[in-house]
Amino acid sequence: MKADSPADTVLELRSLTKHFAAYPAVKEVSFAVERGEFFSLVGPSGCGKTSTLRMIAGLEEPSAGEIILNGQNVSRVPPHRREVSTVFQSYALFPHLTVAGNIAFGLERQRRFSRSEIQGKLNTILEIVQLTGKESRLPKHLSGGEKQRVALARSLVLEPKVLLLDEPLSALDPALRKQMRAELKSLQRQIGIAFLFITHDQEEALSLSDRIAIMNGGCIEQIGDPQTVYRRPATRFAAEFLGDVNWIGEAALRPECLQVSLQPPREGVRWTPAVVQSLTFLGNRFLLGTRTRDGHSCIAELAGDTCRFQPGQQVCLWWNPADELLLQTQ
Amino acid sequence: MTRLRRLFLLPGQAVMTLLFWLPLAIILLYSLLTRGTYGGITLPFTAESYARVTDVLYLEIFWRSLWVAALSTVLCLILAFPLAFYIAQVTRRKALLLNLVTLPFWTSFLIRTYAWMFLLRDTGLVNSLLQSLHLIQKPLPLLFNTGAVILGLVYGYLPFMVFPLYATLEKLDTALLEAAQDLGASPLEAIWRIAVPLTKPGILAGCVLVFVPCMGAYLTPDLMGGGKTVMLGNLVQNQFTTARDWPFGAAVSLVFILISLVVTAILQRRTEDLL
Repeated sequence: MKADSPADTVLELRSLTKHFAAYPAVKEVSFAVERGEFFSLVGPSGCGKTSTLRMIAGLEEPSAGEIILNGQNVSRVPPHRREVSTVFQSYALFPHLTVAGNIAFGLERQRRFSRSEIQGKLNTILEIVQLTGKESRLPKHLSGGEKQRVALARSLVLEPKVLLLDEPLSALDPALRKQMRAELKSLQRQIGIAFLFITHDQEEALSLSDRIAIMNGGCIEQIGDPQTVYRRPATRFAAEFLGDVNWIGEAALRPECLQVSLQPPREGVRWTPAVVQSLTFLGNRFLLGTRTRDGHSCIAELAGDTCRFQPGQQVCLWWNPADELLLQTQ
Repeated sequence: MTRLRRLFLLPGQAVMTLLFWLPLAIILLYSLLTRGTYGGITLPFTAESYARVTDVLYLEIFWRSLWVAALSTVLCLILAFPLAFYIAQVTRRKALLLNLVTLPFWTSFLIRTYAWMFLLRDTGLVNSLLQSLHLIQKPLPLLFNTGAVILGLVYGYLPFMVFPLYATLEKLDTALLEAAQDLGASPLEAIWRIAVPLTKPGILAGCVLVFVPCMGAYLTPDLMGGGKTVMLGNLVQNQFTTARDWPFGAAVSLVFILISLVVTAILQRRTEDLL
């Protein structure tokens, strides 16, 4: 089946919907992923992002809507005939197969490669994910980061149209997670395959993605590049999911957009008096917890390694009106 | 606490000593004695019974027991795997289906074997149904042959294959099967390449549980085989009753135990390699 999509679109979802019994997990989700794009789907657990991914992989059947992959409607194509590949949250490495066996598994299923071709592809991908020399190990003898790289290699060696990643970094400890995050980004740039990345971690999404789709309650709330969705969130949910928000009257502000001074500021800015309540030192910055006169709690983020404010002090919070977040009322 | 733990072993040890080790010692003793004129045993000690085991006539019975048991085991495996897979990985009504698998144990094996005989005999349900539909002219020979024995053994020991398979398949991470399909394996390939290799410990355990009792089956070959398919169990029984040759019956029993132990040990070693 041919389906019209723009030439640079590799994956398009059209009103994709999934009901589990009577419960709607995914409601008319539509978006398009471009070739070579790092596209993130973010949202809290239960927002429908994993169900969306599983429908794209073919592991769940959509209740309604279409999945267009590389110009073909694949909505009813079984998973083993779809040119997408998934990196599972738990990696799902085959415990009885070696690193090489795991990576070659998909190639062997295709029956169009000779043994030497498979070996060649295997060597190339082992080098890319830096696992050369570990090909005869079993998964249980690998570290968390190595398992992650095998899972990536196993999918990437098939050169899928889109690589689907289901919270691939969540099983790693925090230090390793940061390292793998950097590796993932450079790997994606190097091979140029589109990544559809699922996470509930806003920092991961902001730092990795070309574009982000924010999902809530089975619907897409906003799609945009990281700076746009962070600085110009469309909805209150999007604003609060991607970072902290201070509410001062009608104005919504990111903590780093609030300035603090002892004297009322110059003209051309907005301000409100407040009382310092707490001071949190975070190494390279301070978080100043304050309460405004009309009772709102506000957190201001101050750069630098010293802070001249004390709890109990009267201060002025001020900001540039251009930094106010403009949110749709729901 | 340590002393108490030792006490826990006592009842089991007592039962095993009285009802297993002691009889086994008696069988060993008998097998080395001479047959009495009217049954029983008498002196002197001799290894003659063991020499007779290698007689072609008896080797044939050993060989038949071996292949009938092996074939029954393989058939059980082929039938049990899809069933266990369905219960463990597909359905949500696990408890109900597992109870249905154990349901036959609610009646005696003897009664169930007779039920099969009523179904399969010349005037039984199957033959009369086929005849009334004019599909056959005269009754099919469904009973009193080796095929009937194998049918009876497969029927009787199928649950012993289902349970160990279910136990291992239940622990199999469904994500592995999904990953296999995601990487291009058809559903059947995913089962063959992933579920089967990862279920090997269960497969081996099930094979031991089915193979060993099939080897020594007595009731099924006697009733369903009509005495025409003589297996080891029948040989032993015959020696202790009609033939009145207790030492030879005892010798056959011990050789059979030895074969079972060797087969079990081989399978055990394979299982340990896998774990």
